[in-house]
Amino acid sequence: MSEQFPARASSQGPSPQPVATLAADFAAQHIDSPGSRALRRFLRHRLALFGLVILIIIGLAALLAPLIAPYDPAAQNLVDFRQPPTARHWLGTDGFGRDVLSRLIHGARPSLSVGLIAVTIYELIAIVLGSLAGYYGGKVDWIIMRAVDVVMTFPSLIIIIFLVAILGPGLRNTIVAIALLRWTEPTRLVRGQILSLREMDYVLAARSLGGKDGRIIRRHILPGVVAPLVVHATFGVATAILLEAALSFLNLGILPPAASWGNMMTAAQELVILEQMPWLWLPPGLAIMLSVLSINFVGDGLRDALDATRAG
Amino acid sequence: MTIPKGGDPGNQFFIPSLTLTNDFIPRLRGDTLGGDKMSIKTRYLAVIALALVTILVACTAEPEVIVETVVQEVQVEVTRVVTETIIEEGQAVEVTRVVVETETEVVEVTAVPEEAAPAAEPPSEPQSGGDVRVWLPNGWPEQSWPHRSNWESGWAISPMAETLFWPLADGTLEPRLGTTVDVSEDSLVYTLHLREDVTWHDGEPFTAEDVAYSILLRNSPNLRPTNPPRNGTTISGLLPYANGEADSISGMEIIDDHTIQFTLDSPDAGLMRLFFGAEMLEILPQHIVSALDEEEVLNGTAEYWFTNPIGTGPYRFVQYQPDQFIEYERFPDHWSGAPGPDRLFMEISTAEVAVVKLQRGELDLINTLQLTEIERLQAEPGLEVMVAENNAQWYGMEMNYFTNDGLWRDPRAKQAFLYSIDRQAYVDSILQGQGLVRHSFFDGTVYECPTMVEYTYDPDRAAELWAEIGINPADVTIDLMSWLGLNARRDFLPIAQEFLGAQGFIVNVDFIDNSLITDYVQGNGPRGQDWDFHVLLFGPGADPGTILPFIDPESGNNWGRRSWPEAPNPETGQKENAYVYENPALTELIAQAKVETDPDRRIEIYQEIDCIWNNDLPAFMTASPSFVAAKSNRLQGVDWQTNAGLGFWLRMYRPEDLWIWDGS
Repeated sequence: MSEQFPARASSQGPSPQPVATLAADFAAQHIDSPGSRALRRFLRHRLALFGLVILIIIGLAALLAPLIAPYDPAAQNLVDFRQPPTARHWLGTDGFGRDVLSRLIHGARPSLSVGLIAVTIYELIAIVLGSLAGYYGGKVDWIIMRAVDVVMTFPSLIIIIFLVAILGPGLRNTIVAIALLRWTEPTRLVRGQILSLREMDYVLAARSLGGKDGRIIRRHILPGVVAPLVVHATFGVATAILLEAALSFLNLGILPPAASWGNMMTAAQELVILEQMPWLWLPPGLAIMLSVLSINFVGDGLRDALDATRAG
Repeated sequence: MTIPKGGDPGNQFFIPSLTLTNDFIPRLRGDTLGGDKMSIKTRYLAVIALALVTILVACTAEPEVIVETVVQEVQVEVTRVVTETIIEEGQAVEVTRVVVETETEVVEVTAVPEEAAPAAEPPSEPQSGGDVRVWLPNGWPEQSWPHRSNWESGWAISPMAETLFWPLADGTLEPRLGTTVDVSEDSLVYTLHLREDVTWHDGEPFTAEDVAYSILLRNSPNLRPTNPPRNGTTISGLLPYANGEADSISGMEIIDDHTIQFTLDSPDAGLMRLFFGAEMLEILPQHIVSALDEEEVLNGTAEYWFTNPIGTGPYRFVQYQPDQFIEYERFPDHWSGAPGPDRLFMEISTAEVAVVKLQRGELDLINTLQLTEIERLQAEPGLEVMVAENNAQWYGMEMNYFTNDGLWRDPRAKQAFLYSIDRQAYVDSILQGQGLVRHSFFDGTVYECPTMVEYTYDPDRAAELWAEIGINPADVTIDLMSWLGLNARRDFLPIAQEFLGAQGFIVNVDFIDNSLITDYVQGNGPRGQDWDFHVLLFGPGADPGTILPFIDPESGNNWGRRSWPEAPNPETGQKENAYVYENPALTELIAQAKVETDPDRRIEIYQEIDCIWNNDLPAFMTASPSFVAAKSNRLQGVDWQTNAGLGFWLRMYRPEDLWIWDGS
């Protein structure tokens, strides 16, 4: 006769589960990855969501402009010029009889293009120069940082106007001018991040294992720079949109007959239009304001979402 | 490794270096100050939305007419006829009498705005006192009188500086510092008589020495930048002097204090209006300017020009506040008598600010009103909008010298260009109907070609012409340029782009900053030498001889704003005219026009020149905008029709006639 051990369930809690069941439970358990935490935090940011929705709408309008715009944005009608909003022209017509709504929809294209492309270019410049300066330090750092200091002393809008004047107006040159002037801030940001990251133990480990500089920067350091850079780029897009609007407002941006929100605002230079024809300047003004505001909200949301110090 | 507050030490992706940045930024936003981030943003949104709604309401609100109805008790006199029966002497007698009684009555009173009293008429005699405030667009860029090349700077000095004559639109000369001109029978000697009762603002007498000095300085080869002579080149020795080959002008001789004589190499019918009536020949005080530092005078950098310049005009200079105003005061010893107002201010501002100031009564005269403002200001009770037809200047398209040897050498291409564009629509929309389409250089003047072809919008005719010269529009790119400043000039290009695009061309439009004009037109701009046309303001001005510098090979002056080189062509050794344009018949007519002094024959010659221009179109005219000005009712003595007819550049006509009506 052997002694019967009492069942554990009865005296010491639940009976042990089979291994397979434990594995299944573990698999089903929610793993709180940094990405999902960031997404959760972003989705909780109501203004960021609002901004994202507005941006998606503007982005879709830009993408589908030829399909959804009621008229050709460049088509003139010199009989029905400066007409107030009607059923035929929901936002009225401009000084050349062009449909304001169609120009507003098409105007999203250069604004977003300039914002996205110029920022991509100058953030790339910043990654390269900031990485070199931060990782190698010494003379390389000194030279790059002094170049940054010099460029940062330029009054950027005036220099951009000067560059566009020399290169000639147009979408491409507007992008080039903005990219050439705005790379300094993110370069400092990248350099600052890399200065601290390069001292980390895992970087030291990679180096001691014989990792090459390029690989260490790419694989081990740059990923740590991405988050603040994305946030910076978001605000950069907003700034670039404003710069494009300013250049186009001065007739030095997007070339006619293409529409941009900035060159639509040019009409507002005349007092009679400011006072009596708000349909000519209010829609592009609102579009610029909404898009910049939305991008800033999204930037705020991203900053909070990517902030590793935040709980939840 | 420090673990920051809220960080997750178990997170393998956790990057400590982020903690500083990301922890720091929220604190800056006020999170640690106890502020509610979301509510602050929501409040921002609400404020922005409120501001937008306010703008919308402000923009669309119509002035409300307040009609109020109130109930009032009023005392009313009531007259009644009362018939009473009285007993008199035992008999009933009917008596009728009138009774006036005062009663209180309740009435509804509706208050409506009083109708404006009919505008009072200004007194027939000018009044004394008050300040005149005149708009000065674009500031005072060229303060040195002999260096002046733009009209704004001429307008700025109009109250203090005077010329010899004004060329009026009716063909006559109005005397200013000059009185009469005697012309010899062979038309080679001009004797100019000067006004004798003129004193400078410092009390010194004005003499023929001042006139000679002014002509010498204006044409000096040592001026930097040079300001080559446009007119008077027929005066003996003027060109050698201007070219630095002589120390003086041999054909200019002072006869006495108030007489100066000019001897010509050949008759010159345009001399009277284009030289004696020259817009840019303000007479300088020799006793002052010759005592200044010579280098500074030649460079135009002498402070004298904006600290204490003196002239002979009805107002003398008081002070210049850069970017704000120029102040003048009444000159009591002016030859016409003292002007009425105490002071005259030239106020510098943008066009928009000028309109607002005019509406507020802070400005009295806007000399170039934006056309879009006409209708609005016409409705303002205290203002007057003045419109004068413009037969002196028009917008045109001038070809690039460097591409002028290609397609555009064929007159049919240029004719097709004009047929392609609905210029009347441009006049109706951009010029608000205040202007005329022009088809030739002298269109609308007595020198107009009698058989002038009108290039009215005709896309089919244009297409025929393109086909005739073998042009497939789809293969051709046309580059058009305008510099910024005048919206009416700039806005022709999008219209041209639309209409030429409809013909199948690829059309690029460049708007450039004013500072780049010279570089652009001379082939150093973003398109290099490969562009086609730029918009320009030009026209017959005060005399048909204005056309000669454009088509006469002897006039290689590009005035800094044109694309053609001033130096002779290295291959031919010859100077080329503005448009690299040759027509033997025209060359012959130019030679005749220069020397012909008989007015009737002169008209015939210029009509023939105009016919050739009309066909060959060395440059195109597009349309002429009317001269539109606006003034306050308090400013009197403005003769805008005459003022607008003074030639190519706008000058202030008879500033001594302006006066302020204090009862306005």
